[in-house]
Amino acid sequence: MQGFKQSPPFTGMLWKMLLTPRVSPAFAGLALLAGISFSQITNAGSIAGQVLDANGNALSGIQVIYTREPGAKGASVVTVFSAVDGSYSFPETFAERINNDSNIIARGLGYQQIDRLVDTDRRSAQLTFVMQSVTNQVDVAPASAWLGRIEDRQEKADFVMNCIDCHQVPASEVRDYARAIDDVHAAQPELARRQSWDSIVKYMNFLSAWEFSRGGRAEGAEIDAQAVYAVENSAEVIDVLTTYFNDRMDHIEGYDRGAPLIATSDTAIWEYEVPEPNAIREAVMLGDPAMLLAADVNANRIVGIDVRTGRQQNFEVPTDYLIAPHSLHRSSNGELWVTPLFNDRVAKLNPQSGEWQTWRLKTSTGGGVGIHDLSFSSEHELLSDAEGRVWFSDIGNRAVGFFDPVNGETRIWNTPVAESRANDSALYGTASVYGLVMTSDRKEVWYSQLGNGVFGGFNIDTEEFIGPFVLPDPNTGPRRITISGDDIMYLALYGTGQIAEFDIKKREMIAIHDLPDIGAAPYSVTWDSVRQVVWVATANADVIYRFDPATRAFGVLPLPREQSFLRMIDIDPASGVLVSSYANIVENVNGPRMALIIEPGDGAYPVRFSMENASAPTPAE
Amino acid sequence: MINVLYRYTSYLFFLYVFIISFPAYGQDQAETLINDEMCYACHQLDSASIGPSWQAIAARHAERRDQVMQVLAGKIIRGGGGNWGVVPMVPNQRVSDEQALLMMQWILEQAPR
Ligand code: HEC
Repeated sequence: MQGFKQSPPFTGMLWKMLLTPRVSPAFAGLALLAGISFSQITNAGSIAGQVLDANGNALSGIQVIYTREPGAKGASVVTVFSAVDGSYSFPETFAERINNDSNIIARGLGYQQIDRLVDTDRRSAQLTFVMQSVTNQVDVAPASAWLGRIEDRQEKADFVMNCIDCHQVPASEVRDYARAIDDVHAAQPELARRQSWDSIVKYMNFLSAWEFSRGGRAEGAEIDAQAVYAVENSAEVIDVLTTYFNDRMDHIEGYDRGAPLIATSDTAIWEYEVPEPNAIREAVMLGDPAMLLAADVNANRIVGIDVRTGRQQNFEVPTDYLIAPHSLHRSSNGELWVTPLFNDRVAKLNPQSGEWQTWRLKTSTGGGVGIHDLSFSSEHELLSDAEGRVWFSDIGNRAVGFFDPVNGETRIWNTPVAESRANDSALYGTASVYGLVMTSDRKEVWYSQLGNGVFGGFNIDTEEFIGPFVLPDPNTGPRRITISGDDIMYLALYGTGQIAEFDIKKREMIAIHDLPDIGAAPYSVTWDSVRQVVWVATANADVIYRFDPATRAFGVLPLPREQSFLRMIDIDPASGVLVSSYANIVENVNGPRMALIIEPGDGAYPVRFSMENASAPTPAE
Repeated sequence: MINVLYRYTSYLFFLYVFIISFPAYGQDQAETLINDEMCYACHQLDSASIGPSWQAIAARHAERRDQVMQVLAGKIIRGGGGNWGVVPMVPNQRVSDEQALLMMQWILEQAPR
């Protein structure tokens, strides 16, 4: 596969100017030189306007979402928020003309759009949205809102850990099924409901057995349905579904995201759709011109999306076996490290040249490994130890280990068993080592264990473990973790809807914070070294939370669509934008598969990101 | 005892339990589709599973094969219940109209002889 070629400085400049829809005098001159007529170029649409309530009062914090035609240059969908005076404007002009048929809507929790007035001329469009408040929030309330029905936190955590690994429950398609159960009008509704949810649980077990054997399944191998159905703990899940999802699930009131909105009139979200078939996992942004790189776990490829043009190209992983790209790690020199869906392969891509390097790891004793993450630094970049060795979490062996990229030497250390969780064999069976970070002195790595609520550290010099530390609930579900420049570690507690704040130097828990919506399942946390905050990606609440450790306050940034199952958030060091992806797992599930860029609009970086200045770190040649 | 199946991270250890070796499916397009769309999660050829067997479906609709073809193809996509019991079928929204028809034709040929 061909990567983007670095252009010589002058042509690079020229490109930038040609891509800039705003007409600078220099550009006009160039355009004339190039023989392009002026009107052709200025045939671009800017979009601005106001959001009002039915009485004509300004509404703030409402999303205005422009879904563009397939193939439009740039992002598939662009979203902005209305300001205190109800005004909004899109950060860039669009190449296409905006008219009455353009798919531009306003969206807000507890509101419904009742009117849209469009006023366009050749170059700009003014759109006024009129909103009405509604009590039934069913159209916008996220899946997490419905988990409010499960009051017992342990019961909820158990349910989240069992059912929300891959997609949102109850997203609209799950609620549609609740309605379908009701539509059958069975003589014994309770029994019918139980039987139906029972079938769904079996179906889901089939799908997940299929999904998670992607990276290790032989060609033509099939899932044994009867074996999958016979799984033991279905009963408690079916109980929860039958008890709490016991109606048509078409009405919900009073949901509140629980934290002040942090979006401003400078906030913008650019979403890029990846055409089917795809199984997009994580995404980061690299290169100049900036490119989103998204892992496609099914197709053994990284999808490169040119941020400005939207043009997509594939970077095929050059292996004769499926590495199933899953997690992505940016390195400080602009390379991309790719880890697999839990097999023994690691790959590295230089997105500028398109060159790959791959490793197949085998321990010195000949054992296999199942890699999940590589160790992250406080800049959310890959950090190797003083000897240049790359550390990884080994989900298969419940271990941490390293490999040496130079000679392939690999060693692992099995994590110690947490005594209080050791008696439950099921918990131990799922004590997979998941997230991984490295301290700033590069002497320790710290890991989380998703299945049993445990975390710990490992001293690289002494080869000794630190801990283990046991979180209160075995279903806490610590997923991805992050580390600040002062070695404060944050853990996303998926099951219990919290984040943990742990002082690595003192070996001491600072606090465990409830998310503003405790039904939210945080997939990951990312330390933002410039803003000095933690970004929390939720899998089921269609929002990103921002946590400020100084004030212990949360803020919320809503995403423009339902089923936005977030994974990692990366922070582009040049522009400060957040880069993430929506990854609904298994093809049978609806919901977006997109990579996205978010300009928080908080003025933390000198330049507000836009399509016109999109660039990202470039690997040195 | 396999207790916590859903927690996918455990799959590494349990894969062997679930994967049976299967000969590659025939080249028949409909069969490939039915395999790819994972209808086998709920249907088998000759025995009732979560849903009715292909054979039972074919037998039941044999008489009115042509009349029901379109309706049933639509049901594959939209899901729904009430014909075989109280459990509704999930929608299979990724399936196109043409694909659903292809699958339906194949299913209705599976009546036991
Ligand atoms: C989640 C389980 C599930 C999946 C997946 C599933 N089905 Fe079904 N299917 C059912 C159930 C349950 C019924 C019985 C519905 C009823 O009682 O009307 C059914 C019924 C049917 C019927 C008979 C409809 C009738 O009214 O006679 C056909 C045909 C069918 N399925 C085809 C398919 C195809 C093709 C696929 C794959 C694209 C598929 N199913 C996937 C559960 C499933």
